[in-house]
Amino acid sequence: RMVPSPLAEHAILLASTFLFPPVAFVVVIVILLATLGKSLGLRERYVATLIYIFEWGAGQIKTTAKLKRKESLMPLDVPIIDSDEEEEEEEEEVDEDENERRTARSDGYESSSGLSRRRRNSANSVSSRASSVCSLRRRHGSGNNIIMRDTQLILDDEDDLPIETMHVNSRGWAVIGDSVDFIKNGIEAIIEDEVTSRFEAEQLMTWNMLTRTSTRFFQFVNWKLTVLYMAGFVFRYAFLLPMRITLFVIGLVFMLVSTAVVGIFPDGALKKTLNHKAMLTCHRILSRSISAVVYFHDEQYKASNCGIAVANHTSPMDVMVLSTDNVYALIGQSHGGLLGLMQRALSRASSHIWFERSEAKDRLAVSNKLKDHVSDPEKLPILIFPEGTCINNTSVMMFKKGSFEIGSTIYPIAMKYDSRFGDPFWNSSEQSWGEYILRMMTSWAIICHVWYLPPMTKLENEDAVDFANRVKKVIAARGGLVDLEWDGMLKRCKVPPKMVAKQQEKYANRLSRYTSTCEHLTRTPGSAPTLNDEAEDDEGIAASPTISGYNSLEELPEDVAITDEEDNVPPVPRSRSRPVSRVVEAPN
Amino acid sequence: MGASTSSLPAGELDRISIESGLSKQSVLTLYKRFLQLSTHRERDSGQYFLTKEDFLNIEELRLNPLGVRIIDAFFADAEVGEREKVYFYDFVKVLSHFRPINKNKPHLWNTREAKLRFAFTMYDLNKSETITKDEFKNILQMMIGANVSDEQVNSIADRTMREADKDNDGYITFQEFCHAMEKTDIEQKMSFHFLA
Repeated sequence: RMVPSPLAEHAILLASTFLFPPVAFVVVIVILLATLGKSLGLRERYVATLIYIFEWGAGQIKTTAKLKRKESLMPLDVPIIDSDEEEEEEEEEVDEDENERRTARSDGYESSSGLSRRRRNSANSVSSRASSVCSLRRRHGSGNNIIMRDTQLILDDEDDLPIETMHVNSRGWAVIGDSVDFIKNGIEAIIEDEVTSRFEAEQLMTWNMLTRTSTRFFQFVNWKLTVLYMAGFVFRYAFLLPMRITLFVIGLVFMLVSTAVVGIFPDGALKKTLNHKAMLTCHRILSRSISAVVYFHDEQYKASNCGIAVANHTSPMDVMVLSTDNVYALIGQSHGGLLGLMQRALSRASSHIWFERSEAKDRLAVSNKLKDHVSDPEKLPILIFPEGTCINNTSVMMFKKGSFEIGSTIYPIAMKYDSRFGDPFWNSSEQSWGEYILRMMTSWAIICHVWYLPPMTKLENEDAVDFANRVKKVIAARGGLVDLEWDGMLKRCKVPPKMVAKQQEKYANRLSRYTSTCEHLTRTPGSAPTLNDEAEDDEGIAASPTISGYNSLEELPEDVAITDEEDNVPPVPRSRSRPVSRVVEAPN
Repeated sequence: MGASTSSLPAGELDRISIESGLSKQSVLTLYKRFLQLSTHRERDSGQYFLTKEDFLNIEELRLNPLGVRIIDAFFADAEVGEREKVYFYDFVKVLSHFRPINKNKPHLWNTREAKLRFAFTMYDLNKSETITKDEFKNILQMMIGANVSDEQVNSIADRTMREADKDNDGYITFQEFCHAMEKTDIEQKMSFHFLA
């Protein structure tokens, strides 16, 4: 919970920052801009500069890593290898080199390609693939012809890997040796292939100069980076922080004052417009206090009145971020303290839904309140996070189905934070509210993409749970998020149709094995179910559901593999191109 | 996908780690990889498994001339037999053959012999415990392709068999295989350092 600071502290802070002219100047400008709803594009430029600096930093990391690797032969990806194995690796590295000389293979090892690899040692074996040149030669005794054969193994579509050439050495038993190389290659591919290692390597390679994210990189930091880091630190704490605190305070004060003013007016169109302007302005000021750079997409689908806006919840900043573009009615439990103060202030200017803790347990009451609000065209769209808020997790359990049961239009919103410049996630068990705010204000910036999605309504034959699931899917797809379960009761994911068709084939086959089915099925009697009659299979199966005791796909025995594709979607994207043709068989 | 099915239970992790000699971190990495590759799951036990198609989905493996054979050897080595499924335990077992040999901590699964076994299995298609000249020629042709004439392949095969076949019975047994590979640094060739 936020500790409400006494007014005196505020005054002192304000005074001290205003004594500092540049900060005051910036503050004034920012407020001006916020009020007018314009932006100088400074934040975008700031972000671009930061990116440039980080990339330079990443380059530094790479070169340092390279140097360090040469010195200590330490693998790039630290977590994989236990520290007590390092010695052994060094020896084996040396052995590899000697072996290389011994077998008189041409070409040196390419170490530069190793940089983009996750592990040095896999780089070695890759380059050994690249460099092992074997030629097909006849023994001296039986002829002088040297037959060279090139097997081009183009192992990668992308440009940076060189095309690798392998020839096969036939001198006696060396063939076996070469085949072992192929084995190694193959097993390596099984353990890890290009796509995944590159993706993960990209994620590792940039450091955003915040120690909180940099635990892996300490070993690669050289003096240049340290200087940069120090400069960044000073900038963040001595310049950004006071400015942001001031802005935050001003924003809060503005909110209190403006809502009080707007509250004076009687309900009507004027009040609504004033509220609109006031809310937008104060949220914009507040968002500048954490240097939030928000990109809105598809603004035509913005929520208008009589609807419920539903968004995925990722940080406490969500409400503020969304409110910089559109005005919403909020819903939640009423608190005491500073938060309660703000809640009362907001309620003066427009109607929000706050309810007591005891009421929260009464789902019907909550649901009714929602219905009332939504059916009033004068009221603003409600903003709901069905997953939960960081402030109070319990109350949202009620909303999960509740908001989807009401039957109003749902405006889905997908939000995605880019955590390169500051991680807005709050782990409430590890950090207190104060710590969290401090972290926010000393990050570089908070970047967020918001996508408005076309409105959705509940279909006739859908129940609330399915509808919720549908909305969730749409949001997850747009935001590039992993589809997680929202409701504990939603356990089963639907099996995709093509798998169903495949299973139907197998099902039909089983059917013919287990039963003398001909008279039960509605098709031509006397013919066994064929693979082409899938559509008819459906009918046949549906007509006599208990023929083989399998009432549904779910009951098929284990050896009929059902691919729950959704179950298998991992967060890491992977290339899943189905093999078009098998490995070329050796012509005989 | 519930969290419980996508992560290895701790007891399982320990067991596999001890049995295979791999560090827990390595086992977890392999598990991640296993899940990535797997497209099938058993209804009852919820266990994931790999089929040959899953292996063939790996592009690099497809491009490898011995790719299919390697897959066959993988399945044979895992001793899956009729069921044609590779569970995670089998997966780890086979891959742990490729762990570097630690002289201080010898382990049954990554001995030199175990490594050679894998290679031998790849040649010995019919599991007869011997490599015939034809089986050898098969592999050779897979590696070389159509570029070399049949006679040449034949003579290479001949020569190789002669070198290795000590008792001249026309077959190479596993012992003869091991003996012939004495000079080759199998430990280096068939080890991955990152499998610790």
